[in-house]
Amino acid sequence: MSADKRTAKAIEVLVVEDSRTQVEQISYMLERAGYRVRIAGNGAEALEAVRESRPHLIISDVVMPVMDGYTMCRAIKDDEALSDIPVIILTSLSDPQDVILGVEAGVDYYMTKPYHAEALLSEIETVLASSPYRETDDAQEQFKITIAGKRRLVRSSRGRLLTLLLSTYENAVRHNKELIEAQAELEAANKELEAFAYAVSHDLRAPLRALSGFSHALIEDYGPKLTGEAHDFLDQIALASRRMGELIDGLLTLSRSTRGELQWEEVDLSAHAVLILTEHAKAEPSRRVTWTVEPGLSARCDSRLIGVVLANLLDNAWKYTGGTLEPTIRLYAERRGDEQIYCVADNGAGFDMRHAAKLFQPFQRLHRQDEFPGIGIGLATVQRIVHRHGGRIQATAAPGKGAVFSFSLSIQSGLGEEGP
Amino acid sequence: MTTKTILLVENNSQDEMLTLRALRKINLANHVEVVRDGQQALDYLFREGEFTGRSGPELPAAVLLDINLPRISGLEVLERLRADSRTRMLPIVILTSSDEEQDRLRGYIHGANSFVRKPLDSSEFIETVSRLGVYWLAVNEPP
Repeated sequence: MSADKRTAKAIEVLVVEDSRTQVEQISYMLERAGYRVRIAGNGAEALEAVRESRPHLIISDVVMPVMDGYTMCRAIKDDEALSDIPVIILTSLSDPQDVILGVEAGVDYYMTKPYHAEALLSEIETVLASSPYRETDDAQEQFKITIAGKRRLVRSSRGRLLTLLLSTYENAVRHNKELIEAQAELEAANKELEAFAYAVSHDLRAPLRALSGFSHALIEDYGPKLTGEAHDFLDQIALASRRMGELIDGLLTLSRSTRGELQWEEVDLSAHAVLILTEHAKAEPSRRVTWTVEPGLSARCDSRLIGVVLANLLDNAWKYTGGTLEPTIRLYAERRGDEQIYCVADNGAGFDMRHAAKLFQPFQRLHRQDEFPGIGIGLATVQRIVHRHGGRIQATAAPGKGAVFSFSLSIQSGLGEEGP
Repeated sequence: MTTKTILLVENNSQDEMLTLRALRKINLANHVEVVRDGQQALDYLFREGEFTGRSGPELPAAVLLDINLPRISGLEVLERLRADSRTRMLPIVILTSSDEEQDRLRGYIHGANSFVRKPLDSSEFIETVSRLGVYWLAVNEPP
């Protein structure tokens, strides 16, 4: 095809687009296929260019400064001398109203973004091969259409309507196919991930056990013969293997938080929290932490996973109040709009809100190891679990003033957003 | 308890050394027989192949069985032992690095008596192995 095109030459496409990168991308693609390309930065510039000399085809964006793509198209279709130039509109087609706007503007074809080069080029060929559609070819009629629950009166001809609908339908079919393929790829990737996590769980732990086991054995059996820094070095080996073990455990928890079906049931969050905090108090009796858990908090959620959420948030609260004079930790619920928000608050080290974006990313930490040790997986896991429950999580904090983590477990209305 | 033994089915030589070391500390190491894959485990228990006419008691007091084994996997070993009238009631402990829920459930479904995760921490490992040794050699009454 491109050979014909190159010899036939002189097929000129006017690209109407205000984004420089998109212009670069599309011109490169068209020129490689043998088309001559002209550029206009908005609808008004396009009209001028078209009146100066006629292109064979116009490919236009919708939203542009000065004049949008639909207005430009309408102007071209209303001009008898230009109305047979085919217009392809590039749109994300996120709203069914787009189709109506397109019909009213006399758009010939829709191409949905993001597009594949091949699909767009084959569409262009189809457009150029078919006989140009003129506004005058058949009579304009008025159609009563109900779309997205609204009644609209549309003025168009049957032929144009049909062409546009077919092109929209073709696009939808192509997208659907892509979605099905993407779904299959996703499933395959998930399977691989599961196999990986399984291997990690089995095989990566054994060498670690050997590292810590044999350094331990060396100290126990040959301790008296070791001199100088030998003990410190062995301690470092033990320390490193313990840390590696924590990393593996963290990775597994993170990967498990996105695997498997959620088991929805009514869960007593207060009981979970009391258990976790009591354990901490037992493990570190020297710490005097005042903690309060609002009684009777319950939610429909996956008990095991929500246990992971509460454990991570409360563990953090416990850890980051380590240097606080009168440490307090609270779990309570609040009503925001029609949504129940659960909050874990502490008066510990807190963090600078400037770094908050990193908070929920795996392996990102807001504290140095010598301040508060950790691996940076906990909050990433927490966020994934909350998202899987259709909820949201956010944190507010200030350095030295403590932190509040608030999460919801339903999708009704998001945190920090307007309700529906 | 002089005649009682534990059969350790372990493919990882380092885990084997650490396990035997832990049992040696409480003087139980000479009560342990070691085999290194699933086929060997079956041959040992049924006195077949290289273990035809082996000495020692008919059956060990317990089997410590890893899941990831060459040739025949731990779960398959378990299944075959449960299908045979001679070993249907033999106490079997799955001793593995895995903490996968699916492994644990499958272990119990196939008739394991116990599921124990090998701890990563060396002190915990010694503690766990010693407890297992004492429990299955001295505390538990075999069928």
